[in-house]
Amino acid sequence: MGLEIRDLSVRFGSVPAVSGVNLSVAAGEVVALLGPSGCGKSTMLRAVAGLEPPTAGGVLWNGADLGGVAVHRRGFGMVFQDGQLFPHRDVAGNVAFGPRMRGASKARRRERVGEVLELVGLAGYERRRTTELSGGEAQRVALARALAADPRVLLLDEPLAALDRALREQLAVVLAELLGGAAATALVVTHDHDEAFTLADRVAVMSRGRILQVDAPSRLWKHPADEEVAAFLGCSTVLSARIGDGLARCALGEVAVPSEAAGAGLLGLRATGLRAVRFGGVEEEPEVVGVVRERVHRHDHVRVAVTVPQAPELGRVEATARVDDAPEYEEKVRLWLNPDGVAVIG
Amino acid sequence: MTSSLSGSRAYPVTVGVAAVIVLGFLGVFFAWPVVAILGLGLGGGVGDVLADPATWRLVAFTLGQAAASTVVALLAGLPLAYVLARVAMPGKTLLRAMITVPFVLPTIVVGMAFRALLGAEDGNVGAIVLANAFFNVAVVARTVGGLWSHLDRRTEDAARSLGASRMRAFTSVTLPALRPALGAAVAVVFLFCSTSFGIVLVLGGGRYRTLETEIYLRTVRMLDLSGAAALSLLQLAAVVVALVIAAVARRRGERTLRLRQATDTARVPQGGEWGVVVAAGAVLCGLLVPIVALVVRSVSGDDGWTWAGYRALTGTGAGALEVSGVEAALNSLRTAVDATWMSLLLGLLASAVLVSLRRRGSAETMDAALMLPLGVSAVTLGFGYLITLDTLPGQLRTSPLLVPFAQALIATPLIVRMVLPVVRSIDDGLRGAAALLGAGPLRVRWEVDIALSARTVLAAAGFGFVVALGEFGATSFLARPDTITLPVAVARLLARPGELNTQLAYAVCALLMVVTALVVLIVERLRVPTAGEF
Repeated sequence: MGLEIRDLSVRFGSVPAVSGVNLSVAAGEVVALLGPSGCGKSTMLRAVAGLEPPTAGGVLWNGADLGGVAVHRRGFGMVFQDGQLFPHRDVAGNVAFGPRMRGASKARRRERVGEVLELVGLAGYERRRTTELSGGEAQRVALARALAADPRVLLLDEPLAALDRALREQLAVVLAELLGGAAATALVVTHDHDEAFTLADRVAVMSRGRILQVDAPSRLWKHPADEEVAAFLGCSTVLSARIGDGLARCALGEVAVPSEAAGAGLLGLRATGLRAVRFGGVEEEPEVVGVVRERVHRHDHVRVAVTVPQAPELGRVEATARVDDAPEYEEKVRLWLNPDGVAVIG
Repeated sequence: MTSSLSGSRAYPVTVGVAAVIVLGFLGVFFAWPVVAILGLGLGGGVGDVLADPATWRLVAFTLGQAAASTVVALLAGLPLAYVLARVAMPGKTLLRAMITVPFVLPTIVVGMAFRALLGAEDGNVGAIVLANAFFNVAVVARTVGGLWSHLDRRTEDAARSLGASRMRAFTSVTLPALRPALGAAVAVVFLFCSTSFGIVLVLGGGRYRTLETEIYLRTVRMLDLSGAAALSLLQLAAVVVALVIAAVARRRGERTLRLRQATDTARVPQGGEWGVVVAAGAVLCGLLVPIVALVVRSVSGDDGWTWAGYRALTGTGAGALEVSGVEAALNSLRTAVDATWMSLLLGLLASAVLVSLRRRGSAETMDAALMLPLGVSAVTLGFGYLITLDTLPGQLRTSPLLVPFAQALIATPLIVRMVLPVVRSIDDGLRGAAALLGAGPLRVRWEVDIALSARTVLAAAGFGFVVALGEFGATSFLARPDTITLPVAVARLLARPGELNTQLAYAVCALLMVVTALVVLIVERLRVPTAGEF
């Protein structure tokens, strides 16, 4: 029971935006649609809301087809990327819109506005003009407006994308608590892994109008279904390995993997999956050596690209080093694998 | 991306009914009279009229005075456009209103103002050109200034940083970007100047005639209907050409420009830019001079200051009118109010249809059809009514609503031009948001479209009101002696000798001017900044 998307397709003229997607969201579950921009995830969300007519397939709620149900009768709430707050109404006027459409009394509306504003941390904002709000406040009002209508399903279209990074991370946590606390059924569209993993019980990775994989965040992170998913989730290097007894052996050494499978397999390596440490040449030659070809400072680490003389077929491989021990350009470094950044593909 | 909310798919029947009402009105009260003129003109007379060298002198004078007026309006309007678009200063609303007032002043009032200033008892070509330019400076300033204020200023900055002087940056970067607006403004101004009626009638003094005044004179004085119809044909042909040029220019303008929020581009002028500001100040003073002259003339008689003109408002002048000035004023108010609600209704219906039309082609065709009455001269329209009137059912033929019908037809295009851009600029996402929160399709229209464009609609109503109040060309054909409006009364008073008649005419003009200016000020306060084309 809950929301079910069945063989949904949307085309714009001859351009397919969503192609035969199947996805279900159980009552009380939060599912994230993760994918690069232009992959059709927003279109799919609009189709679920009823804003975009599907070319084939449909949307069901508790088993009932919503095909003939107009947008305003679906009882779905939506938070748009750019808020879409009504500019001619103040905060209270925006939040009270849903209850007003359902004929709630004035007193009841005022009460409800107070409740949801409190919930999103904007108590006392009733009389503010929407044009005076900061980006973060505007998005919280947009969320409050959607919540005030008591939607059966909450649809969030890149709700935090327009905000700067610090605010985005902070609001993602607030949002996750809200969704969890209310046991809300929600479908969240985002292009940001962290956001998807913070908010969702399950994540659906989407590309070119199709869903590639649906899984819980931890499993998705460790077991991307194919190389495309792995690449989208940050694996910059893919290499073959022999897997067995919880270990994977590859050209860069040995690493523990949470896989019961045995035999030949593929490893996806994120930058954090490979550590580069300078050794100065005095100690004995380490097992795997890399030569630094590029280096850039990131906020809490140094990102390097190395070539590995004993495995030239890999080309340049991304690795991380500590800021206070950053190797120089062309310097030889010791490399070892870090299980946190290694995924088993397939 | 399209949505199923805003479109005709949701309510095809409603949109269809609205389209039928609008097109039906256009058909009966615009297309039919125009076709009747075509029939009358082609039926006889065209050959004779075209062969007559006097006709071509008329055409040459019409086009010549229009060209001269356009050049003057352009030169005077550009500094104002610059100030409106690029100079950060307080009181811009007032400035914009001051620039707009001449455009909505009744043409007959403009003519009288220049007559008071320069004298025109035997005709005065210079006064005709200046008066036409005075009337159209607003079109240049607003059309060009509107686009200018949205041009990305950094393109000029880039040119400057690459070594271009301020002047060079203007001619090589800004001017080409402004070309669509300039083209549209020139076409519209040329059109208005070549169909200018009230001004030429008042300032031509019988010696200088344009196609417009000739059509009027042949109809009213000589009863030469087929000759008038032939001239109307010539006029129509010229109008269509000008409208096509304007449409092409406007379409080009929509294509490639990088537009920005107007507030980003205004700043305090620097260096040589002050010269332009001074020029704009001079133009503004120039715009005030005829207005002041009119007011002064209305209170000065042969023997010094006098209130005779104003006192005479309760009478009929020296017997020139069949009704008193006060009654004429009441007639004016009544017809203008009727014309306002009619044009508002038509304009809103038309806007709703235009917004709902998906296919760009059909939307553009309908848009152009709606603009036609603006281009076809009011005199042609009034003349057309006159010759189709007989076939109307009896009650309509003598209906006092006929004048407001004509006025509404002229005001409707302006209302569409004001309202449509605002409705089009409403983010479709807002409609989606409202629907998701439980608002049905009609409720969405009410809560989003109407709520967001309410101020503009009010402003458009005000605009329609002043246009109807000052309408002269069509009304002069249609108003009967006992139902004349103020502008028509002025023309009648002027045609009769007598100091009291002249004095009363000036007083009426001054009153019309004050009412118009007040309404424009209110309209400017109501308008959403920078949206709309006029």
